[in-house]
Amino acid sequence: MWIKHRRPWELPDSAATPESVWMNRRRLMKGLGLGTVALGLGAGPARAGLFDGLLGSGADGDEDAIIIPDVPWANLFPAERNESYQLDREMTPESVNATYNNFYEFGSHKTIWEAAQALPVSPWRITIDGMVARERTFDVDELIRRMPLEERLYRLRCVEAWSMTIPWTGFPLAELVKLAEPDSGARYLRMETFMDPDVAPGQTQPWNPWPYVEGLTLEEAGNELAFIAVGTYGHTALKQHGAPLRLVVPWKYGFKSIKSIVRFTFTDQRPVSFWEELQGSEYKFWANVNPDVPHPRWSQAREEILHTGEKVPTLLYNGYAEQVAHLYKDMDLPDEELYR
Amino acid sequence: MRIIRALLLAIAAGAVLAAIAVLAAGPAGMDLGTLWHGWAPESLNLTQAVTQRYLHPAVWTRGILPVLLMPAAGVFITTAAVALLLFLATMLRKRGKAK
Repeated sequence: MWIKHRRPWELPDSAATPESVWMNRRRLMKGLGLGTVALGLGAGPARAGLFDGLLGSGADGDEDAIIIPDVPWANLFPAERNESYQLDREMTPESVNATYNNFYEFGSHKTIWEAAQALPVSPWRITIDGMVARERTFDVDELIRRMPLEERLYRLRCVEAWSMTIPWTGFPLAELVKLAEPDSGARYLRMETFMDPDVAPGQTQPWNPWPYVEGLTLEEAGNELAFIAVGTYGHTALKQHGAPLRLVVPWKYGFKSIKSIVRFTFTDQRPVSFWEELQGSEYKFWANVNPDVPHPRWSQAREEILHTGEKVPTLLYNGYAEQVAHLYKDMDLPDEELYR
Repeated sequence: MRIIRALLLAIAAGAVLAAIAVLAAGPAGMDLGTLWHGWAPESLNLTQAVTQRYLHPAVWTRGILPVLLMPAAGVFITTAAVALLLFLATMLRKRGKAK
């Protein structure tokens, strides 16, 4: 007998909102001046949602934001979809996905897509160093061509309590770890973003600990879900998404998914991540999604699906508990460490 | 008018005290943004987010950021001087009216 095992993140078809309904709902809400009214104020991965209700949210897409960079590896797209990573949730329209972004190197506003166009993404050098068999630097084109590209559908859950569903193209981070041949003593992977204040105005603010740094344990980096994205929606990654290559770890809050990476360092020391250093009382190293552990200033129990405005319950590990919960089961850490 | 004069004096006094505190506590050239960040990082980040998202990104990058990048002590001394000048101007105006 054929039995369908529903994964934790799968929603029944009946729960999906027909496109015509959400389009009308969105228009109606906008007409009434009711965007995303979110309670609580915050900054960091900045949440200023209260004002969205008064001034309209940034969740309406703009086709002009889809500016596909002209890069040598563009002929590798589209890649074949890996059907193991399907979702029952409706895909976020690309115009919305391209318009509503966080990329702190370019500021805290929601027109990042415009500012990020200043970023030159080719040529782009990637360094792999630290506790590895041999330190190496690759041109990104060479690195991407060495990797098995595939498309995966993932949820993205932002710490600001909104979410998207995105078709990423890229390769498993485990493949890069394999290529690096880390020493047996390496325990963490530290990743670093470009540093160029002439291009990224946010980096002129000396009080922020630039360049942006993120880290994973090697167990996390080797997990099947950990992904290096080089494209979205069947083409090369947009600059506002962190082209030419970025991390995607869908069971963690979005700020862990570092963009425009230039360096992968294998180390035995736990890296201090950008937000941990900047605002460590609120943003921790692990940052796993958990609806039961609120941000100090707002609840994480629900999330707004950005393009519909619908509020839905958030799931433990963003719905990926089956794949990642084992990574943390023996950790003796308080919830406030593991889930913020 | 009396309230405004008291307010100007208070601002001048507060700014002088802040300048002295900054010069005594940290490097003379510490910028205002770093000082603010050390004191209350959440409020600095929130101010940036609200300004850039709901006013205009350029209000932050061209208006507020240049001020935040100035030496904190200099900003406080300038603020104190401006407040003091305004206070004196109101005093002179009051004296002129009395004659």
